Amino acid sequence: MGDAAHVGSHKHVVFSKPFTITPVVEEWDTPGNYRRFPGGKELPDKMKVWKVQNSEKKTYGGVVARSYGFTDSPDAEAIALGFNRGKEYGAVGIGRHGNFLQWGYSAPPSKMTEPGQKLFLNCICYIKQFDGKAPLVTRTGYPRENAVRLAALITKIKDRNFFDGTFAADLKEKYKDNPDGLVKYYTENFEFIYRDRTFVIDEDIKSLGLSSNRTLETLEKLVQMLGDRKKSKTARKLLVKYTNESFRSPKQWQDWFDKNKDRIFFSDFGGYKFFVTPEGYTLSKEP
Amino acid sequence: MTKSFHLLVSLCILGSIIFFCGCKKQSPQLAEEPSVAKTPTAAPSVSDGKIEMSLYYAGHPGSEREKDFADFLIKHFTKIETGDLAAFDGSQSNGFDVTILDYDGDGFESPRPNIPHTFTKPVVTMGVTGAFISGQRNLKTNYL
Repeated sequence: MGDAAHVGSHKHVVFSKPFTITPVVEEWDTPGNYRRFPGGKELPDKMKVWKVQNSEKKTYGGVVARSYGFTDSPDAEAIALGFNRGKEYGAVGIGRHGNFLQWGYSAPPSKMTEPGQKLFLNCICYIKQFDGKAPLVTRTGYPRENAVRLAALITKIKDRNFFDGTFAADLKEKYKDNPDGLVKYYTENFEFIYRDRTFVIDEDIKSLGLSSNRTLETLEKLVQMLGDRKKSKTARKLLVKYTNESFRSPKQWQDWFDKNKDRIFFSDFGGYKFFVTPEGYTLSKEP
Repeated sequence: MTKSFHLLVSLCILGSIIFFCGCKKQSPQLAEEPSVAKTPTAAPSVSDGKIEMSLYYAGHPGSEREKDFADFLIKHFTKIETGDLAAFDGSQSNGFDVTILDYDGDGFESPRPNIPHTFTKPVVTMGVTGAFISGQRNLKTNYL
């Protein structure tokens, strides 16, 4: 990662408490690497950034985290997007996951800009309140965006084993000379992507006429389908697969859904499952 | 007389509203509504110009970088202690509000502290070193 962050809304509380931050905005050329990732071709030629640090040597080693799946659980948030020359636009320069706040810039304070120093101080103050707030999910699955990203590389990476954990053998064979076709395949089925050793399409979800495997509406419909003799077997199979529950009766599923529906989220990162945020985990919106 | 009294009361109320709204706009903390933040927090208390918080910085003892951080942080926070990242096991965070995990030089070569998965104290991790620590814990803030 370079020295800068992309200009965002800056409405996050870390931009105002306790120090108000006024970034000095500059326009820099859009890095070429951004173009290689899905959505990159549509980016403008120049982008607004602000310098967080003035590093004088490359060994400071900044780093961004991939944006894919970063915000698919309520325990994580992207605070600043890092201007980078390796990953996609949207990769996270400063982010929080549970009680850990990662400051991807790594110059020491004396090399930070004044707004950078203030943001660093604010981040230290901000993370204090997450004492005891461990992450709700940790990585057990690779987010579905990776299927599209890696599909575009199928002819560029020559190591035949590289994609073993990514694409099924029949897909690799079918699309070995056709990255665009593989990208199209995953893009068109994006809402049905699932991880089962490789990125697969959940045909069961499609067969039930559902539009996605990750929405609350899908979960609700699956619970309702338990009462439909023609669909109940597949619905139950999917409920067990996409949750950490194994209730026996439709009523138990319905009661669980009704009780928790306001706190349910789906996470690719956490293993392609619906999870329930524990009561009291999310802090009050008022100070 | 009654009409004049009512007019006077109305003007007083209107004046109060304008006064308090004006005060609000001048407050830097309310200048921007943090609508994006999931968990806004109250500003920490400040004593003698310093933020009343205690920090533990685990890095490379004796390094210029450690001094850089310590000198900067002590200007802004009431208590700073430093220690060795290589020896950090989470217990050092007890009694501190926030811990900073950092190292100098090439982050790929930095120590990988053995932090138990039950550790839930607030932490700021820095740069590549921090990304590798996140990777050890399978966090979203990891390197890849």
